Amino acid sequence: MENSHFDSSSIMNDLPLHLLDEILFKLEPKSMAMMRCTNKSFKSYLTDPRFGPQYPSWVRSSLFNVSSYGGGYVCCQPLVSSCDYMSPGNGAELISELCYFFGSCSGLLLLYIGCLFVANPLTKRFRILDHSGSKLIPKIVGGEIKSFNDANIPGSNVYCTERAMCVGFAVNRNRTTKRFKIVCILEMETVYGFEISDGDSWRLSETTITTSSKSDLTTRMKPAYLDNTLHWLRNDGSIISFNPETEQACLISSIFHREPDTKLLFAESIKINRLTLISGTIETISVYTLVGNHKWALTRRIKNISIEENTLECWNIVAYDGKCLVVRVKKRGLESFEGVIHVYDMEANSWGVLGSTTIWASCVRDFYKFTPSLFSVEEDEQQKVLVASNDQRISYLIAIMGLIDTTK
Amino acid sequence: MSSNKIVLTSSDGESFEVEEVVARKLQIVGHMIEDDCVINEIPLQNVTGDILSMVIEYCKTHVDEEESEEAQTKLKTWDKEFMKKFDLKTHLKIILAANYLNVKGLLDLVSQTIADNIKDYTPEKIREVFGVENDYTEEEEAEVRKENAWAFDEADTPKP
Repeated sequence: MENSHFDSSSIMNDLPLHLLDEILFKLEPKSMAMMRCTNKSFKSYLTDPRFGPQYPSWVRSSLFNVSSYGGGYVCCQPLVSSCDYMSPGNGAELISELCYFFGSCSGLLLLYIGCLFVANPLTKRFRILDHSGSKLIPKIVGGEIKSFNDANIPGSNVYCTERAMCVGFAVNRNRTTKRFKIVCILEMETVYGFEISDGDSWRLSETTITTSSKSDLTTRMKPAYLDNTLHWLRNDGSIISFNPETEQACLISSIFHREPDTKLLFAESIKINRLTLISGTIETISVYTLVGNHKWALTRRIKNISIEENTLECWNIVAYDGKCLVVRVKKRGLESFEGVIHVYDMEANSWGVLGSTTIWASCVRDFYKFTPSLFSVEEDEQQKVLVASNDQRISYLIAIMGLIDTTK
Repeated sequence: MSSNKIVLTSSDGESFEVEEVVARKLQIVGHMIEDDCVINEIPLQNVTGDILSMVIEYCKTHVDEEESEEAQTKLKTWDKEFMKKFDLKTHLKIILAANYLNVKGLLDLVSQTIADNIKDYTPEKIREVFGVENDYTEEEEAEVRKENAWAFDEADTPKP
């Protein structure tokens, strides 16, 4: 095709629009960006939301997983309704650092590998944040040993990482601002405070919220981000919400009576734009939706994947987005097939297999859904935190960013 | 399925005798057969003989879509080689024909091929190959390139 020029007309005029779309929808993100640079009408045409967040060929979500205690091995699998073969996905090994994931939102990742990064794995842009102004983050990643028993656990960071869920990561989808915010919820008995960073500095919000009832935030339960607001789940099913833009906080008193021996997952269902609470036993998984901002209503009951109790080491509900429900099952033993990630397609009502976890993966593993976007992490030149480009931490970050498949 | 033969005639009067199963891959023909069962010669107004012969070649190869992985891989390789034979101008004619004749698989294949060929092109190259007019001023072009700067980076050299 190298020498085939068009005499006078352009492909734009030659092809009916729906056929041009057939081609444009199949472009990979980079070619899409190049196309925008060719000509004004292409640029405005390709700015249409159809080519935006829903753009089909590259907006395929992935699922990162990493040890909750800070991991030396980060895995990533495409989030699909089933795959042909069992694979632990792409993996990146960190030899001299531990990696902590704090959030994945609108195509950006907030993670710590020796220093705090906000990164866009699609555009391969990243930014280093100074976290020394934060009250919470240095404690989590600092690995302070609070109790003597914890010292026996590899990584010895159990107590601290239990608070990792207090870190909320929000990327405002509003196109004009494209700003991210980090919000740490500070829990002090019945009072909650919030520290906020826009990437440059950390400050304590003037907003605090005092609740009449005492219930702790559910440990290891990541906040859900919906309607530009972060939501943290408390053990009694109620929710503390905080809007990073308006800095308004509130308590949603949606009480949930958790049965003993159930697994729980708190998530946002993007499809119906609601908060969701998933509660599962080894037989059944129940999906509850928050209605009227006060009540958890049972909306769905799913038969769990069959789990043999006698060989089971642990199982968890690890991700949910309204379309997919992901369950991780680990049997006793060291064979790779003994750690399986199952996925339930909520539309097709069927279970499939997403892949396996690495053989040495512990029971406590965090899963983060990642959906690529073109959100920028740009910053003020003056505020830039600089490190040498051959810094080991940067090469680890690059390896992790490389785990997502951004080609077709 | 019977080995009934059907004659397809192009806009420039070229005729192709094909088996009914092959002709049915052209959904436009499939619908005609279903609407009126005694057709055995079908005029196709919007496609020339040279392009129609390529479409028929595709349909013949894809006539029995086997499920097996081996067959699928073989077919994919054939598709790739088949597409390599043609230049962009022909690809665009095939797209129009595949759309008119309603051959979904071929439409996907050609549009994917064109999209793949654009890979690694600079904006200049895209303009040249597709005859896209550059209507940006110098400043505007600098601005739009800045917005999309990430795409111009060499692979695997991320910048903070």
